[in-house]
Amino acid sequence: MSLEAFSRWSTLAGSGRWSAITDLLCLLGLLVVAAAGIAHGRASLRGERLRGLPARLGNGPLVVLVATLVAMFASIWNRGLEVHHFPSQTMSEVLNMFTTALLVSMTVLHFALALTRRGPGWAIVDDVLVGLVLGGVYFTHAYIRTLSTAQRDLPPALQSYWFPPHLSCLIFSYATMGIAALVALVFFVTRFWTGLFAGGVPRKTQLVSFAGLALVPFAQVVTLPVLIVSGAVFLVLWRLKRLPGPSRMAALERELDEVSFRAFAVGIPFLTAGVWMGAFWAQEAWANYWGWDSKENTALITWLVYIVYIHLRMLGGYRGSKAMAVLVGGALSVFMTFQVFGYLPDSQKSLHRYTDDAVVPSEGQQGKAPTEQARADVSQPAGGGMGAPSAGRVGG
Amino acid sequence: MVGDVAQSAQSRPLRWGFALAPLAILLLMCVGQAAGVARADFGSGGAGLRAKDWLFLAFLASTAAFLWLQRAAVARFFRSMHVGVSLITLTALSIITGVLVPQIENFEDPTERVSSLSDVPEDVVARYLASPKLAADEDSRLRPDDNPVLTGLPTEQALRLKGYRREYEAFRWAEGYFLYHLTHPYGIGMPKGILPPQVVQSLDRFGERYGKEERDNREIEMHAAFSGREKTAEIGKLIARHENALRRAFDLCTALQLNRTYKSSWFATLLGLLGVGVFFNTFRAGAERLLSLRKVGFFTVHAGVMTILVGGLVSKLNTDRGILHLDLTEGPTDTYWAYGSSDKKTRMPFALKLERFGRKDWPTLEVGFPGDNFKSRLPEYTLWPGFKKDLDIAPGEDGVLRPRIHLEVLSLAARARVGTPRFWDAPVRGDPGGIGPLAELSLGPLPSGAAEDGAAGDGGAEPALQEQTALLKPDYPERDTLYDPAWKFRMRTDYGEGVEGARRSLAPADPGVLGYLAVRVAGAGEVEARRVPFHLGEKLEVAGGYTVEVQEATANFRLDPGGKGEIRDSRPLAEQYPRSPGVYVNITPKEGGQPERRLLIEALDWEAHGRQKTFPYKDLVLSLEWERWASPGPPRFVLHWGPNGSAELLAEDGTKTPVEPGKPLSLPGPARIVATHLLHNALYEKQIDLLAPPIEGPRFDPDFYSQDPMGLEIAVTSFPGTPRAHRDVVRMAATDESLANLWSDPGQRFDLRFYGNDKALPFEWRSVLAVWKKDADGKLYKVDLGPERDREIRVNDYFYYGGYRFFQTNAIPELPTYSGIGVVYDPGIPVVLMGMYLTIVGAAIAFVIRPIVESRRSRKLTQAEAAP
Repeated sequence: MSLEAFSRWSTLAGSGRWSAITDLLCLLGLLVVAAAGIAHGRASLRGERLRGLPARLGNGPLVVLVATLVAMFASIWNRGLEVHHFPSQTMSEVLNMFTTALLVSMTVLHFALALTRRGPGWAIVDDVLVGLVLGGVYFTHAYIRTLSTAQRDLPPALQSYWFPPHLSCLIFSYATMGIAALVALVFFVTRFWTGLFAGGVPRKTQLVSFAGLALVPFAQVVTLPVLIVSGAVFLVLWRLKRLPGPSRMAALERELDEVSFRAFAVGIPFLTAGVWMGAFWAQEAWANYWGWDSKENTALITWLVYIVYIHLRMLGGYRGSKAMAVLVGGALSVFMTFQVFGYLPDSQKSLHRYTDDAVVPSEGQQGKAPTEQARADVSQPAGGGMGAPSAGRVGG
Repeated sequence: MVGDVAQSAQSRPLRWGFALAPLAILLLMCVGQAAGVARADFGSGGAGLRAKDWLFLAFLASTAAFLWLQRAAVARFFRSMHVGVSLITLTALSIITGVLVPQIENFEDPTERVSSLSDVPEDVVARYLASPKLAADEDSRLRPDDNPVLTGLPTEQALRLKGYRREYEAFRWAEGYFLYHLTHPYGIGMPKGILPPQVVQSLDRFGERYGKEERDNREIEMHAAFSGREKTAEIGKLIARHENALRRAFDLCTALQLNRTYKSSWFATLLGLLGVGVFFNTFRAGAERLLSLRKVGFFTVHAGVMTILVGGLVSKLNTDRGILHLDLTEGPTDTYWAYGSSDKKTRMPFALKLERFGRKDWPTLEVGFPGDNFKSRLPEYTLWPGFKKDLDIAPGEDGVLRPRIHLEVLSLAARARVGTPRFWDAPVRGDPGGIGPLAELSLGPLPSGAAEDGAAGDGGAEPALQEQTALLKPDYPERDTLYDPAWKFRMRTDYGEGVEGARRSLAPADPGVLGYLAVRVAGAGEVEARRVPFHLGEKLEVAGGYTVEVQEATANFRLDPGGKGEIRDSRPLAEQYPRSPGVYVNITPKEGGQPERRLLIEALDWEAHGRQKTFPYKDLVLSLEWERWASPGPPRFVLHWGPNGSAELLAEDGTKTPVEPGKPLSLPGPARIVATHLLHNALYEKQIDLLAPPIEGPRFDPDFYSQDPMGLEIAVTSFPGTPRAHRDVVRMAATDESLANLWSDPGQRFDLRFYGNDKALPFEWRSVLAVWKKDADGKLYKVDLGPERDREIRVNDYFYYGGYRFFQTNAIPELPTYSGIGVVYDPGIPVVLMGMYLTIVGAAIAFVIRPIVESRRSRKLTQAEAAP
């Protein structure tokens, strides 16, 4: 529980204090989101817009979201001052940057998608997304507390003007793509639970949905909690006989697909810029715009998955659940690039393992220097070396 | 009837679906791979073309003819959405393959392959792979200590077998590591490092001094260290269980060139097909439509991708990469090692000379609390102007936790000058402001060639050593001894009523001890290193069941800058000035496996330099600490003085010589040592001038190449925010000369140490290069390429000349004059970069600008329609 941080407030650094405030706001925000969701739900059932106090409550999630974002910015800003460089050198710093990007992205998408303007039913989707983002930020911070927060000096290769824009673009795009996938996830859990409680969804589709939501390794970090929490909500809706019918589900599929595409459209230019900025940087550092390093490759794979998505959707006529499934696949690729990368076989010798606490950065060291070979030579018992003690080395 | 069918087939062209399109592309990739192999083999048979060469030419001609005759079908193929999506998907899958199959070492070299073992008997291969790994297996050349299984094999076969093993073991480990984590998602079932209670208690005390965050970070590191060996062992078992499958998988990956994916012909074919596909789909519409708002963004992205692929092709056909080994002491060089291989020396049309090389380490502060004796290494704080730190956290009278030390950096300097401090005896012997007894010695100039300590070189034309001042503190173990630069005596200082302490110093308890090995076995749960004294030839039993035998030792380890090996000091150990001590140890594991021979150099921390992981027994961390007083060397003396004012010089043979201030001590050798002051409780004033601001930004700064130490001005506040608050402004320099790097607080509660952190990567390396060419007479001349600032290279800022790019890539701490320069010749770079910029601009137009403009247009249209 991060709130323990408040008990040792006086000894916390600025970034730690603002991070603790962020966590508090996230918890508060979840309550506000729940209240706003209920208010929007009731208005939706009555078929009218919120007015008066409930309308103010309906704006609560945005207010908390922006407040959390400000607190997180303050935390990142302070961390930058504490470590005296752009704070993305360690995994804890990069994850903090990611949670900030999630909050920025959600704020941008709140206005770009304008879901709340479409009516109280759509406002619930916005509430759910804000809730998922705030929950995601809170639990990511809980995970960060298991990581080392020690300051690390920037190795020479990271001292480049490309570092902040490259990383910011990529992380913002990852966050935005993640939210686009969350929109798709909302649809898939809705279809799964509706199908389970009310029927009307083919068994094969249900099985595939369940496998996708519960059994994909690493994606489970997000999908399982969403599946479980939404299960409780849909159980209540089922008891209240308020589950969406087939026509409502078809409309929801169409509209959530559209919403997720618009969220995607915000992220893809940043993903493109982020990936190629890495190439510009590598070109300046090693005169090699693409070294087929596994981190570069996983980022490129992600980009290609999204390029496939664009082509399928814009040329192949893929809409609805099929398109959203590809979008979720892209988010899984983002997760792999971001978090699972260190385990991939080809990543063992990657130049991009700066964020791994167990790895001493050795970037910039390409090829063996002659003296390294010499070391190998002198390590031979015969054919060089210092000679045996009996050779009269010691003491004459 | 037949005609109808034919007509029907003509009228309904084949539709490429998601089943057929990938298959067709895979088939084309196979053809491309075969063509690539044939092309590589083309004309290699010597004089004239062979039958298969003619066959290859016939294949190319018939393919060209087929493509021309079937151009409509080819265009239809590439314009199919299913083909386009399949091409992108297969490209993504190919790259996924490249990520899941570790690429071979140096895969960027197009000629690099996993060695073929088709002519090596399988039983020999099996025996060699099953035998325990030796250090020699990591060497690409044959060595006398190679595995006995290789004995009797032809040299060429043995080399291939060693190469195969290196690649296979890297593959096996990487796949085992991946599978282990895949089968233990979220760490479920992985060993947890449980910390013993005493470690936790010690951590808590550590946290009180350095803060909870520092404590928690240390705990996380300890957990990782405690669980590390078990985890490694489990991965080893997993690999052993699936050894056969892994070997088969490796051979399959090799056969399909999956472990050199990005240099394979099938991948090049795929990218080629992708390029053609992008081309066909980009120009489907007329120029007017392509440049419409709706299309222009996508058109630009496609144009960008095509440009990238064209540039990539140019790079593939022309690129050469390598490393150029330059040294400040050497002349211009025109030869680099292509792909880092000494077998592939390649010449440039000009030569490069290293004119300057510098390395700057991070300015670092360490804060120690003398009474605590923490076993854990102390935190290191990287400094910058304005840096602040609160330490020594304790509850105040109101119970609130507050720091009792506050540090603030007032100023940092890239260069500082350290003068001799002014010392005087405290008027009152017990003055707490004094630093205790101190001897100030004057070292007379040494004639040319007499110095052995490296300050004046290695003999020959070395300059004379100037007059110096030495400060010795008898109560400070690391600063109580003077080692004669000419290595004719060692002199320790001693202060007290009697001379018993001095006599004890002259007769070390263990005169044969050479030094200490700091030993830590991470997997055996050791977090702190233990210091173990060692003698030459001694076998030490250490944690984890390892036996460490010290086989060879030198006090003067040196490497040849030219990379030809160690420069051996042939003198007896006692005659070698301990400038760079080194030992070779032989490590034998508990279970009696193959021994590992490891070089330990006192000045180098393999772990901090990231090389620990390359050792066969990588969980055994060893470092060397040389015993300069007790180890074999010149005669020992002790300079003793006491509170009564008398001073004398004691020799090992028991003789005592009175010491008179201002007169030379009776010591052997050419050095003239005079005891200027022998103080009882010294007060002092350091003389440190800060000369230049810190190096900031990527600008040329001559101070970067200066050998002067860095300087620091720091404000130290004790008990901040309380009535006891006390503030000192302290100047320090990153050199142990005149104790300039040390400061103790007046209350003796804590010490500060300031230094350049040379344990890991530096702040930066920089080189200044000069281009040299030959004139018509064959004489070398320097090409005028402007001032040094235009010829300086740093990491992230290369130097371009004659189509070659040169960037800073390597440096070796023990060779301060060496600079490793990366060399790249790649005319495709500007083309690819242009393509990337186009792609970014296109994506921005398609997904940002277009929706905004369309939305505005739509809004205006709506408003216009709504208007009366």
